[in-house]
Amino acid sequence: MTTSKKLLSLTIVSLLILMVVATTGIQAVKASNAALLFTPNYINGDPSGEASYSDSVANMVYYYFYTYGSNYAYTYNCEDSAATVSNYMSCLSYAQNNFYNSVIYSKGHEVPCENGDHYAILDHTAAYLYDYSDVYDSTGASDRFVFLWHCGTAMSYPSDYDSYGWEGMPYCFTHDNSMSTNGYGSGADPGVYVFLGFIEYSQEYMTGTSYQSYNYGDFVTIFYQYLLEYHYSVSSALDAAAILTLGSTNFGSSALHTGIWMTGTCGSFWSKMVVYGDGNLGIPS
Amino acid sequence: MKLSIKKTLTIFCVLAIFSLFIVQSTDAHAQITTSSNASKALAFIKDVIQPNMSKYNITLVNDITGQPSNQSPTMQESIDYHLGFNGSGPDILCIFTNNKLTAALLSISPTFAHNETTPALYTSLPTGTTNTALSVIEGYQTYTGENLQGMINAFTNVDATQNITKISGNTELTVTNIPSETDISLKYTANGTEYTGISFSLRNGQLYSFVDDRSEWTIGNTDVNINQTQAIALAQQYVKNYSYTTDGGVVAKGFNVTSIQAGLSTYPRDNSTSIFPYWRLQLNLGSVYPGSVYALSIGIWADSGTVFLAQPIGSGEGSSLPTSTATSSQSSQYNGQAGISPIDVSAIVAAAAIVIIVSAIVLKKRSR
Repeated sequence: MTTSKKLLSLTIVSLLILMVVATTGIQAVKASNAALLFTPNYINGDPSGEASYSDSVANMVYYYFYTYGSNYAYTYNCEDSAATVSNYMSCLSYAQNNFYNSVIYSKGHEVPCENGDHYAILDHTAAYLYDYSDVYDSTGASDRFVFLWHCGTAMSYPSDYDSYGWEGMPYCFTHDNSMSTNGYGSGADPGVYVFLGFIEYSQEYMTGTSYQSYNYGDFVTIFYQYLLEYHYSVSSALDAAAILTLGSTNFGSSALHTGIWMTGTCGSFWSKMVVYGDGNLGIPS
Repeated sequence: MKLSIKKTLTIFCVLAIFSLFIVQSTDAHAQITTSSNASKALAFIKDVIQPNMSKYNITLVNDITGQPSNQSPTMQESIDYHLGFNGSGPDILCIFTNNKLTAALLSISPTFAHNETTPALYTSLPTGTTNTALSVIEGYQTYTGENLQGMINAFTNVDATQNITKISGNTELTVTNIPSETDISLKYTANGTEYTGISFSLRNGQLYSFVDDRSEWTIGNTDVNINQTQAIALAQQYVKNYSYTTDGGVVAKGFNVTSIQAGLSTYPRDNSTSIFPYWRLQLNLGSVYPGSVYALSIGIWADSGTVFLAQPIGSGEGSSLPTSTATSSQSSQYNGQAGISPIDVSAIVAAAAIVIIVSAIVLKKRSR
């Protein structure tokens, strides 16, 4: 066998090894995350324009995952009529069973249900995605980063188990009942989960933040930009978004976190966006 | 020089292997560019945050320039310096807009998230909230080269451990204390309206965040020709004929306004970065209207009295309550809408390529 033939053989073997490694071994380890974005926009649920604007915010978030989330092998932007209870569940299950980390974003409406300690996300047809069954059964330990911009998503935590099952979205998504309830800044725990949600009511994306012409959709968009494009931690990305769109010195001192007086069918409350778990983590990479 | 086919093939093969390894090992996110703003950020850190330089090994972690998300024509640059100390240490994140520093944040790098929960920053700043605050402004004066004496004077006879709002000339100083944190803002003010300025927060006695939005927004005018009573009357009149529709086509009108909150604020005009004073009113409604709407937001220019903004304020609660039987849990069978994952696709392509190459080799050998 001549030197050239040996080199040719070596080249072919190397190419084969590289292709196999690239598509199975390395790729499976590096591209180990899933990002699921849900924007159900249930019919008659919002004033005109909110649904299309919510879709455009989700599209920007999807763009950041697509462009900068190099380790996200599965990214699904589920909007409007596609955002049904069954699709929520099937996508959550698929991500849970096939990827090391799942990152979940959902924007829309939520209601208390059953005995009032449980909550249900409304899908596009206003059908319920129950915390104790639909969510709990479709999720698990891989759901590391959960962001739910719906009313009441941070309620009922830590969770209790009642006759229906586990209460509240934070536990039913993460299956972790020991997250810090002050996960922003120095209150963060040294865990592996971050959950962002709302005590009482959440704002609509089109609502102005009172800082220049910014609205809450801008806050969310910039939050994800700083998470994914600039690789900030959750707390720092929240700070950056609060500085740029809320006009405050940081997220912790902003009204979005300290409380906005809001009214709904359940009464009037100080409504707050909160962070559970470890806000010093970045988005899974 | 004439190369033989064998030699050409050999060179090609070596280059192919080399290229593949390069492609395989390159990570786009690992590339760091530098700019003149990186040196400005370093100067800001030294002049304003004043870390004890003997304790830290300062390294540039990220310097990324991008288009802001809000479709603004301005460019934003995010610069991240790590202050290494005993294998850990905080990060200082600096944001530049139009090549001017608009924000800085103390942060824990996600890399060290499991090592610490509070960024330890050893600085040369004086202790005591008021002294620290003054030192931050004086340091910023050194950094910018501007005369910030008006802001420094605003602190005369002020104890920053107490909440206070004080106007000195055209500078409004606001100090707000919350547990473990003091927030300080120094804004240009005219005719009862706050415009732009400097604000920062001290957390556990050390500088945590710093904001300067003066370069982002220019002041169009400061004319306030409409008073609060007139603004409320204009809003009440406007809302009599106001209606909105839901995404599903339901029209809401005839609102029962039970209370009104009003205050002066600023808003950009004509999609520019020039800001003008306006009356910001929230008209609270006696009940929840379609689309989970509980209030209306009305904006009236303070110079002309023109209503330029009218918007329903809703929440993310649900306004319809379907029965449990109609919405029971559904099958969790994967319906395939999400499609095949990229891993599956690349594996199929790779497998096909391997089969083709092996077949070609076998056929070549047999033909000989």
